[in-house]
Amino acid sequence: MVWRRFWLVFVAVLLGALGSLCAFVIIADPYDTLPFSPALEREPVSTNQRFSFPALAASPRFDSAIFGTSTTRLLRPEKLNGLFAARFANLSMNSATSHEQQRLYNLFIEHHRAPRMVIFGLDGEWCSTAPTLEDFTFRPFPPWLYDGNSWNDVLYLFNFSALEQAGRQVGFLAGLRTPKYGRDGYTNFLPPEDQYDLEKARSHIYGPSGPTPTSVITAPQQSFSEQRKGWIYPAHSRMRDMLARLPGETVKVLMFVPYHNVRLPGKETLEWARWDECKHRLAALAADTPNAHTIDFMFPSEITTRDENYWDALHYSVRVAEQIAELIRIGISDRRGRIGLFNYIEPQ
Amino acid sequence: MLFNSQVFLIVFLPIILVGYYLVSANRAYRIWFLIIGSFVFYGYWDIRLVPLLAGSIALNWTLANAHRRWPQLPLILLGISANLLVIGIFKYANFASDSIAWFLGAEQQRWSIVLPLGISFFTFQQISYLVDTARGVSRRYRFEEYALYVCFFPQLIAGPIVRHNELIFQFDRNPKHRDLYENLSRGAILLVIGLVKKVLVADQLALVADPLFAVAGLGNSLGVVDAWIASIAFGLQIYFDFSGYSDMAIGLALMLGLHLPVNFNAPYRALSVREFWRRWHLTLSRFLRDYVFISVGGSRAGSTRHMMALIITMLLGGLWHGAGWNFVVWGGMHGIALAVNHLWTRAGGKLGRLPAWLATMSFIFTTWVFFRAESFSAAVTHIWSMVGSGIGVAGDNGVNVVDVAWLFSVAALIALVGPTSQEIAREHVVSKPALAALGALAMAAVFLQVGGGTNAEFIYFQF
Repeated sequence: MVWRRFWLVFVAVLLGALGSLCAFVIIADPYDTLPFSPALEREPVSTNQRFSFPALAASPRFDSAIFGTSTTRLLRPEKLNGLFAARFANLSMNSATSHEQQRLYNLFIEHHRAPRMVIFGLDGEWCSTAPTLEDFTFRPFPPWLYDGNSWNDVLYLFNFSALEQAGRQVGFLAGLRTPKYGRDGYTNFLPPEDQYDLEKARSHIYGPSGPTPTSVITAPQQSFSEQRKGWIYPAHSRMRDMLARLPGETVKVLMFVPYHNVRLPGKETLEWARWDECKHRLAALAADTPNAHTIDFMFPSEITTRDENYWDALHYSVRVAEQIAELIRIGISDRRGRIGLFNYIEPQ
Repeated sequence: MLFNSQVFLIVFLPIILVGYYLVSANRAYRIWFLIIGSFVFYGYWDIRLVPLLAGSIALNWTLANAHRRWPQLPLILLGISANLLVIGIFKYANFASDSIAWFLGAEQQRWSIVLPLGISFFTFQQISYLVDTARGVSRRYRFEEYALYVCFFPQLIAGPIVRHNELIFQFDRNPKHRDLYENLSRGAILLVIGLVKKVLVADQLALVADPLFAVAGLGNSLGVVDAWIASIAFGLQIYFDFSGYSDMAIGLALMLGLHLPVNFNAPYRALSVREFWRRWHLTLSRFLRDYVFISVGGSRAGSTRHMMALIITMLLGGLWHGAGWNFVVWGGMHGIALAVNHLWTRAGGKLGRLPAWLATMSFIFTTWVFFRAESFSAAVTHIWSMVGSGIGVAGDNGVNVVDVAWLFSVAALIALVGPTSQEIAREHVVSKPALAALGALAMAAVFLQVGGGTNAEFIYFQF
């Protein structure tokens, strides 16, 4: 009989522990995706947006979205809402591959068949001519949050990582923690503006050796015409598929992000031609799509040549982000660029 | 399905336990229930391999029975040849063709052959049954008894290698007897201990060993400290990984009222290589002794023959582990070490306990490099690094000695001091509710740990 008691205690404690864990993660619903969790005002808790943004992509609170990497994370939805009379979510994920962006985009489209507006932030990933692109980074990517079935999500919540996020979520819900991330996906990940130090920023932009003159190969541009024909951009087929899923009335913006000038290839170099070809091919895709605009900030301009606009070579300031939002609106309404600020790319 | 997976712990195991005890009153029902459960367990990995397992069981059972009826026919030889042919194709075809191609100086495109999980275990288990049948020391079993003996899920993939005459008779006994709750409890504690050893110790040691062996696998040398850290980390990892698996297997069987043989007995406390093999993977040692060592001469045909038998047995033991020259070398080194050990003992050689232990462990942990290295040349480079001839190029993969010291200390303490998991589960666990609660909480912690999607397979699954 003593062993019977041992066994019953073992089973009871095990079931009790697992049952309590189960109840806790279901109530907390750390990623806010469970269809049967209590309806509470949850926050995006995970610092890995691949976990926290699927809930935003599926949320009916939004009718528009921004997709991209950290180079578009500073586009503030509230600002865009005012400019375009829309309800934006910023779904840009740090270092997201085009595959990851497409997965999140597909989830958004499944829940928003006719969005008002979609902005695609385009950077190096979209203009890579590598034969194959990596689908994922070293950051964990949870495919179960993207499978369109939120009923099975609970099966993936019984682990220490999800438990930690559930604890954070409860902390937010109880008012014990301050949310780091906005409920529209926006986060100003930069230090406060009053801490901006131009010299420090320059050291980030140029590295310890400081600015060096860009070596320009003065080969004539047309000499690359043969190479251009042979370049294949693997991510472009993804963009074609993504654009094809949007109805005509949706406003689509393909935005080449403003890298600092130091990251831009010297004009008329082979690398410049590779980028130029990429831009025009994506613009051609946009031209085949109703209501689509290709806006290019990725060239030496009043924005990209000023060090004080940047924290490092990729990340511009909040002030520039606000300016970019306004310039997008101007680009769409004028259908042409502004000299020294942005180009409106027409297909060749 | 892995023992260290949530689907096994929360779905498969409860269904098996509840179903088994529901039908336990009927002998045929409980045997067939476990057979079906075991095939589900096996097919969960790759359904295509189920016919191979089923066919292998049916063929061996048929040939053994046919031998009883027509003993004059070479049916046992046919059966053993068929088993060796199957394992030869699935496990050794690429190794053999690569070796021939290398010998001829030719290039050989590797064949794409899936290695069926557990093939070494269930094939050799069945060969032992055929040999015992030929020797006239096996009973005639009903098909379902034999099938369950081979496919019994706790031991199917990586042992312990069980003999027919130590398992099948247990099927007669209704598990709902007076030891029911004691078996369930002790089995559950062994399962928890095994899970903790695998998930919380072995998998953490792998994080130290894997990057360093990866560096060496690229043909780079390591710094002497990194080379030793890699070797020690792997030596501890494989012990906790495999003995953890064995604990789980024995514990799971015990929860079903069946007793499997012990497979490990604190091997790193051994004071000689000979003693090491009496403590490490005991059921394989037993198999090699009874079916290989004795067959190639054993110990009663003179000293030279004895030495040769030891070396041949261990060479084959090495090859059993993996299809690669590094495994052959590993086995050969152990065979030579056993022979030297034997001669030393016969000559009356003696060492103090500490020097004996240090010499034994130095040999064991050095030879683990051949076992783990990604190729023979990588193993040689690694060994040279261990004697200080390498230039450390581990870079970011290099490890901080202090960082791994605590992990090594905990692992070494468990391996060298205190009771073994078998002793804990069978002798030290008393029917105290607090211990039951502690075990259950440890199980819940492991359950969460393996839910992260990073639960690693067991090293011995590749064999």
